[in-house]
Amino acid sequence: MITPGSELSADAELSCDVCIVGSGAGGSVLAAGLCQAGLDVVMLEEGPYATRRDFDLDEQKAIPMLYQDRGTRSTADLAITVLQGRSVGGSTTVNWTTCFRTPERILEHWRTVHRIEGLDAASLAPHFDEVERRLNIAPWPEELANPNNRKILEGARALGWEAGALRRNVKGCADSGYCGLGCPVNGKQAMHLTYIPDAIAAGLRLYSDVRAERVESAGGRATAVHAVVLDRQSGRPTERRLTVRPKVTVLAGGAINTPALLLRSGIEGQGRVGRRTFLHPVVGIGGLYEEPVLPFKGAPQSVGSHQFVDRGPDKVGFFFESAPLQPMLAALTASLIGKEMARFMGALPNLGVMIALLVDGLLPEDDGGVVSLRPDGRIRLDYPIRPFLTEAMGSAHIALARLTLAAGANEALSLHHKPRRMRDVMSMTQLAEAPYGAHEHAIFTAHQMGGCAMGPDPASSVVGTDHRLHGVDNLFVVDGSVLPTALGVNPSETIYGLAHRARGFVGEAV
Amino acid sequence: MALSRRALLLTGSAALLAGAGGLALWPGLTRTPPGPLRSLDARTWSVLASVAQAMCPGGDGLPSADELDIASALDLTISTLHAADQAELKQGLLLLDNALPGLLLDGRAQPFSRADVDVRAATLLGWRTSRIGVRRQVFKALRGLVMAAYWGHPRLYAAAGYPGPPDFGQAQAPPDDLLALAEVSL
Ligand SMILES: Cc1cc2nc3c(=O)[nH]c(=O)nc-3n(C[C@H](O)[C@H](O)[C@H](O)COP(=O)(O)OP(=O)(O)OC[C@H]3O[C@@H](n4cnc5c(N)ncnc54)[C@H](O)[C@@H]3O)c2cc1C
Repeated sequence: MITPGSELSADAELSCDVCIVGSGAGGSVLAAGLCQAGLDVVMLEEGPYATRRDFDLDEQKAIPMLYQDRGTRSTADLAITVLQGRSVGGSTTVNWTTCFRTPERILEHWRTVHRIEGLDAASLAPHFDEVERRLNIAPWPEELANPNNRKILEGARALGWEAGALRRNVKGCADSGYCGLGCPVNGKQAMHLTYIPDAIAAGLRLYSDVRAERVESAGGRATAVHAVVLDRQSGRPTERRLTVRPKVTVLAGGAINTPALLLRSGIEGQGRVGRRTFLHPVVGIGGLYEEPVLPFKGAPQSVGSHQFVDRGPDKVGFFFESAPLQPMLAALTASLIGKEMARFMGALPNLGVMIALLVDGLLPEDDGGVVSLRPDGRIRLDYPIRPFLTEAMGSAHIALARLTLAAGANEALSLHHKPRRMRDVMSMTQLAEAPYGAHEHAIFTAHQMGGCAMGPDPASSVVGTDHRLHGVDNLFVVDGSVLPTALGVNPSETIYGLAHRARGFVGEAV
Repeated sequence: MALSRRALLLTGSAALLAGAGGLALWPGLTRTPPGPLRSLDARTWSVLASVAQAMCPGGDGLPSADELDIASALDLTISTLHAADQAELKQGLLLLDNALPGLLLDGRAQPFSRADVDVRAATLLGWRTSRIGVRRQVFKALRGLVMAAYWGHPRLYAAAGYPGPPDFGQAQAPPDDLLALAEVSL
């Protein structure tokens, strides 16, 4: 049963076995398992229950409805635009469907550097097998790649770089290109169409438009979740309150929000909560092609390249994908105004943007960003762009420009405030000399990770390898915030897989 | 927009104080809102309108920000943000309005919102790369809001070669039947 907060006519108090905060990748996979095991589960989701009937694909309506902070979330210095979902299904409702298992190299790094035992490819395999089956995760055939994605293949082949088809969680995909605004045909196997229905069929009580404000705890145990009903239209709090008194509480609000909820609850994990927040910071290069590439049409991400994901032990690696460009998102990638902006937008049908995602959190000195609370209670995310990231941004720009030109673009165009325009390899020196970092060019993130890092030692991590908060017996975190580093691949499948594995730990705690 | 209040206060307080003193002396607003406002006041609305018009002046077949009344659309958007975010945005707008150096002949400061569109555009571009962090933030916040409202507007679709959102008949689709979607437990 899904109950929108607006249907609560009075303040309410519920008890249950497990209360899960957040209905995204982590929360939903977990909920389905717990409900099917016969547990009584209440789930709270601050966003609305929105379905294809609401997905009219108008960016001006969809983004405020489906994204955190109505689409205005960013780092405190506004240098990095943070795309993060906020509706039943969480970021999976708006994500671009690319699925990867956690790379073995990363699992090995977690084992050796973060001393995490029990997370290896073999022990995770059954969990991945199961979510891949349920979400229909399969390669998107190369020949179906839209022109925008095919450019990555063509460029990589010309340069002799690795590139290949990506796997996607879709069934009956209409190839619309609108994954980011909610799938209009129920093709994307997002949580609100898969694990949430599974959980509902097994008894889940899900409340939408209800935000958990605070977890109450006493004597090392979480005793209640205090929540407020939000107005669906504006997303602003109402007077209405919901209190849940569960045996076990699970936070699955995603990176940034889960650490913030812990901090609001006075749980700081020896100062670790909110630290080591990673973003896979994204930089991009535009390619202006002779022929239309229609970047707003067709599966948004279907080809990728991991040619530079590992640049050695002292450099930050990066991987390449492309980004869909409906006009509003396209407008946000540039920093131009006036006539220059009109020219940029006028070229949209012939513009493709390839992106590089930086793999943060692997260098010993890279401890990422920090989530904290402002005095007025708002969430604050600081993410300093340190020299090793600046270096990677510069190298990524040059590699992307090469890829773009090798793919046949007439011109590669940087997203600097003063765009650098490259027509040949010679003109690439411009990029070598250009500045990189905060407020020099567009930077985005769609992959928020960490902030409640997993590990065996309370002095350096927030949750154990069983997702249980160090020091609070019946409180778990099951979402992207437990990742001790970034992944070097899109994170959703890792989170599905970990949540599938966590079903046993949480179930046993009841 | 998460404009840091502390940064604004640190960098902007002097200018804000100067501005507050000057407010009473200022002549009437250049632009007045066409309808009731939800989050902005008449002054911050008029500064926002003057920013939007400088960023999106129209011409060559494009509508201008004024024609689309972008400032009023944003007033609505801003009204749904956290109260503290709203307050910071208004502060940012006032900071910008007080930013122009020099005085008019009659000794009054020249507000940004009354400057020529070219001066406004040049000022905004200066803020884009300013060494003062808070100016870059104000630029980024205002640009993001204005461009999203302007280029996301259906009147601009054609100019961007964008056919507009396709219709899959989804609005008429039956509600999702969760029990039919569910997989029975293995
Ligand atoms: C535009 C976009 C494109 C992406 N593309 C891809 C892709 O192609 N492939 C990929 O692997 N990943 C992609 N991702 C990322 C991926 O979807 C996320 O990493 C993943 O969904 C995170 O899972 P999660 O469980 O940590 O959080 P989420 O899925 O974000 O779910 C968290 C949920 O909790 C809710 N919540 C938060 N706080 C509270 C609270 N206090 N009370 C109640 N509810 C709360 C939120 O509203 C949200 O609905 C994309 C993300 C975005 C935004």
